[in-house]
Amino acid sequence: MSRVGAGVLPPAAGLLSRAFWFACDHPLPVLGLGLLGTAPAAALLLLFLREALLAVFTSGEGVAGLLPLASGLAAVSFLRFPFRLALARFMAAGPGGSVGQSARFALVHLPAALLYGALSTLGWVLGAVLLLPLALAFSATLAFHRFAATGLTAWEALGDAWRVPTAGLALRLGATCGALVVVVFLVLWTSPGAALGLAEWLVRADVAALREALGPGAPAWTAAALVLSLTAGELLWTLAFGLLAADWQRLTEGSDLAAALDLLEARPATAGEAFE
Amino acid sequence: MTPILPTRACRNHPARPGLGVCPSCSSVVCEECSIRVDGILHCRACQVSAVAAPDRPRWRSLSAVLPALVLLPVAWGAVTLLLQGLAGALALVGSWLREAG
Repeated sequence: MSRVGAGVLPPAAGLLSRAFWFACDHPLPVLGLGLLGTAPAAALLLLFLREALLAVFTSGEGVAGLLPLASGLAAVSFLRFPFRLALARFMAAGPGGSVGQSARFALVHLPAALLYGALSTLGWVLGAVLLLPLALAFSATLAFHRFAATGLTAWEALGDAWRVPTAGLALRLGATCGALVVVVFLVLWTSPGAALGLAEWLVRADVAALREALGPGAPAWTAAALVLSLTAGELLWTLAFGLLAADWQRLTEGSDLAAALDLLEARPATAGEAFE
Repeated sequence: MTPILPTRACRNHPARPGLGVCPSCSSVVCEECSIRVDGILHCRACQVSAVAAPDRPRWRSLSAVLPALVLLPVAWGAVTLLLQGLAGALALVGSWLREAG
């Protein structure tokens, strides 16, 4: 089978919009699996960054003491993938899908989930330095959904996903998700403080105690807003790839048509004869 | 008459033109090798395996066990190394700022 042309891929904004409405239509499974999968890793990442900053700027200590935390963060980041596989299965199952069946599927296919986790993580880590391996991370993400939707093995699904040139679309999706994370964080971080300020001004309510817990200066609320916004960003990313995989038949038919047209262009004499 | 659009050959019968593409295995199949379910064309092999062998999906992850066992520690090490590198870069900036301040 030929490689799909980038022209058949949907626009990133359309995919993200559909991902948002999918989350609105299925709030419990999406938020449940998303929070269980991503929130612990996001929280540990923030803890690591906080400890790193404290160790470096405040106490002036070295970074060797952070090795156990970094190692734990790496382990927790792999545990996201079984939850993401369950979410992918839930998306692939359509209206008849249930969270229990999806979770069972993820449990049965734990090795595949961890393999995709390792491939995707390697793609991101190496891609952060060399750029090109990012394509592996993108393909692994798409293959993940292909695996959940079909009877293909993990390697077959990866080979299948490799036919789709996701790099351009994934970069646009990543940039939009990054911008959304910042916006969601700012909204979450400042909303309670603004609401409390309004309540104080309108009804002269005493909100000093609440402001300490939920105001923009409260470390706990800042951390919670960061975790929630990072989780939302990754959820949208995952859902967008799931929706892309759901369009597989249309994508491959597009590729076959493109391949047929390429062949036709390469054989103008035959094409001319056909019309005579 | 020569067909206007060249067609792909069936996976199982190279001499026959393909009728469509199976959405499960993405292979081109002819009329004999295909079956329509809810109006969507599938290859018979995928349809038969989906109906007759529901346990097959349980085993398709087995091929991922060994690569996962090899790649997970590699990815684990890569993430740890990247995070330590990040912290090391912060330490460098911190020491530079302390010296400057």
